Amino acid sequence: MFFSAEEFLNTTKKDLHNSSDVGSRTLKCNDKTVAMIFLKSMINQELFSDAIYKPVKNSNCDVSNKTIEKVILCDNVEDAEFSQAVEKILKGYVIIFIEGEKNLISVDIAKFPMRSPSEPPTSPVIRGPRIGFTEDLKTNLTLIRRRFYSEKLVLKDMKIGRYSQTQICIAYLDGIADKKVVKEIQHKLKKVDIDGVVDAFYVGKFLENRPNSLFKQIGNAEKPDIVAGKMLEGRVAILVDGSPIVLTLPFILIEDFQNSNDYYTSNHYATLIRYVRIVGFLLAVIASGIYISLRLFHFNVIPTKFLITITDTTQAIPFTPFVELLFITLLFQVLYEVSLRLPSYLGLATSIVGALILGDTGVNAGLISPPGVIVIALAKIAVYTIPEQAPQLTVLQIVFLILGGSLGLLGIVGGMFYLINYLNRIDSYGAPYLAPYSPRVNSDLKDGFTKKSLVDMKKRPMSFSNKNITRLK
Amino acid sequence: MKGLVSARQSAIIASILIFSNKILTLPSLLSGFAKGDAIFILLMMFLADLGVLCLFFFLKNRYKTQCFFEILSSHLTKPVAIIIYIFLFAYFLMKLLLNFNSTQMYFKTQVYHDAHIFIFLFTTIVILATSILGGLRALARTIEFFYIPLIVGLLFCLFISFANINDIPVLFDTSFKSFFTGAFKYTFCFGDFLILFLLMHKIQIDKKWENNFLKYSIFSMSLILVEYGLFFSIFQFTGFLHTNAMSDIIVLSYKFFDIGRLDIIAIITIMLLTFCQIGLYGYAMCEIFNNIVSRLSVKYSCAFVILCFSILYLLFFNSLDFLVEITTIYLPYISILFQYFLPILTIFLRKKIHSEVAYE
Repeated sequence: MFFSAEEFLNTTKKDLHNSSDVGSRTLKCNDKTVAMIFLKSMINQELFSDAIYKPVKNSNCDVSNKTIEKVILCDNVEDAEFSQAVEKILKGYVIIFIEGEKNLISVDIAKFPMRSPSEPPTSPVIRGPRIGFTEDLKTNLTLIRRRFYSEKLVLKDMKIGRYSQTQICIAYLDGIADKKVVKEIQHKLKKVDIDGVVDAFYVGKFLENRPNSLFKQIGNAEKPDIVAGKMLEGRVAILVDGSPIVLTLPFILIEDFQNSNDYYTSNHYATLIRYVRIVGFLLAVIASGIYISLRLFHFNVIPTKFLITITDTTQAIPFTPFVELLFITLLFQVLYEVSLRLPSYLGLATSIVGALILGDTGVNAGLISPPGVIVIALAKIAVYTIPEQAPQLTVLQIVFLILGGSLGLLGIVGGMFYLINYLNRIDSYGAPYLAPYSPRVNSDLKDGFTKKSLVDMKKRPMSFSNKNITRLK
Repeated sequence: MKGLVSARQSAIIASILIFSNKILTLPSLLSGFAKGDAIFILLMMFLADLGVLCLFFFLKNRYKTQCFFEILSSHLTKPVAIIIYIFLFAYFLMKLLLNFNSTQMYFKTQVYHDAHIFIFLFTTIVILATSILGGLRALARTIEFFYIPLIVGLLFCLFISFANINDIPVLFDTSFKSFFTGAFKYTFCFGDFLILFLLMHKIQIDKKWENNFLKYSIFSMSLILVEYGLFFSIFQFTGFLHTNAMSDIIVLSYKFFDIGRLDIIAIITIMLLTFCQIGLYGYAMCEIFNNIVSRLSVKYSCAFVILCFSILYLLFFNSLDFLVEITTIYLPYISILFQYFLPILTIFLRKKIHSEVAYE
């Protein structure tokens, strides 16, 4: 306990290392000194002046915690311990100290630069909700709460990061989500002792069973309708302050083949689109590998007319087919990276340089062949039929290109066998990664590659554990 | 329990193994003895195999969680069980070698004309290592994943070969002696349910689990019978010249719908089928080896299996003709002993035992 306002301010400022954005005010009210301390960068300064400073200054009553709390024109006014002062200041509270009082007053007038909820660029829909998460945890929790006006929605808070003290919130529906999964997530998060958490993906890495695996093992969504849908299936959502990405667990691969659009459109169309995604997935992974294996090992399988076309266009190429395809793949990847990082006004220039100068001139100069460009372009575009899996597909594409170039079809088929076997070893909180196809879970096939109507989906997914299987009565 | 596979997955495993060594070379080999009547040899052997499957049902229902090695040890003493398992290791190694040899010859004649043997050997070793180290559950799930594409591929091959039929196969044209000689000489290519005895403690049974096994097995057997029917309908008396049956029956449909060579479908299907079978044989060998030399890490067992396979192949069994000769001269006796007498022996195993096997 402090005896004077000056002592309180000096000690608190010292605790905050006399940072340049620490602000303080001292007032004399009816012979008592009132001290206020806050971070200028974290509070709404206008509100501070109008709702706290001026009313306290102009008050004529006896100065005590009880009377000052009534004078302040804010909703979030509460008592605070001296030990909580620094923590609250760092969160954007104004701390008020009145000489002779045993407690402090804390007023939440935090204000950070924040964007309003908008449609995320990665999950646009033609029909359906467009609102997306923001970087503010409170806003994100509100967006989820608005989907469930039920006491069954449970939110559990925790903090991670020695320096960042990032607030994490675990959200699930009581009676649907498996408590074992929730406990396992909490247990894993409690064990995390990291200096800081910058984004949700930092947290995600600690929740994966195989953190060094190429394949993602945690679902992520940027829209509340997607998260609500997953929570209704029995998944657990993890929200991280400062990140617009909400993590969901358990995760199975089929989730990335599903899109929120599928649920707001006809089942038949959704099924068709899902099959298109499978074709896209296969094209992305093996198209370039198959092309190179056919050219190098099994050219007698290619129809004669097509073989003549390929031979005509490739005979003058100075490189081997394998080097040529690898070169086009790398060229595309370089252009992709450049277009991502360059300012938008330079994007057009990149397209011209990439498509016209490098591509067209490369073909005309006889450095690369048109079939090679077509195959790689097709494979690269196909990657974005499942944008959530783009990094994985890009790596697999190069692996299968090497397998096709070195072992032919045997390499491609063997690679597929290895890949599926590897994926079958991944387990996400009790959910087999390739469910509902291996192992086969018949009831979940209704929302697999083929999508049935919502009316037919009477049970929750059984690929992972649920407390309550019945979805529709 | 961890590491267990479902009855459906086990049924699929059995169903996939039924195709082993039967759809490529065997039709031409059998046709040398029995011509079109080879279909009856097949039918007879399949019935015998279904009998073995019934014996497996009997044993599994009696000993739900026990391992076959434990059952043998408790009834016949451990040294006898070890001797049986050593022979079983050799038996599955020969199956693996025959499977590998016949398919690599097939690939060489069809699409890998100038390829070095190490391309096939390297791929097989990777598949063996993946299957053994990944465990039975991952392997069973992988085979389950590929089951539908495999069946679609096989059905496609059979469907388009209907266009090539010239006449119905000539039947009842063989003497009893040739018929039974053919059946006896190629006994080794059958008896695929033996693997179920080795994996029995890892199979999780449910209600009507036997139906799953019967359903999948009979379906696979029917597909093979259809293939043999088509093979002898298309090639009649010249069947013995066509050593790659599954591919050769669609040979006349190369330009079907002007798409190009359609036997690529057969090639890819057989590649995938072979990988599944190789993985299963490798896993079975590893399981046997782990029982013989207990408390050995799975990595060492895997290395031993791969080493045995590679050395034997490179030094002795790199010729398909030689392997077929061994198969037809020496292996029929061993095959009959293990494929049929060992399962029959299980009827007399009735002592109650307690499991000591730790699951994966």
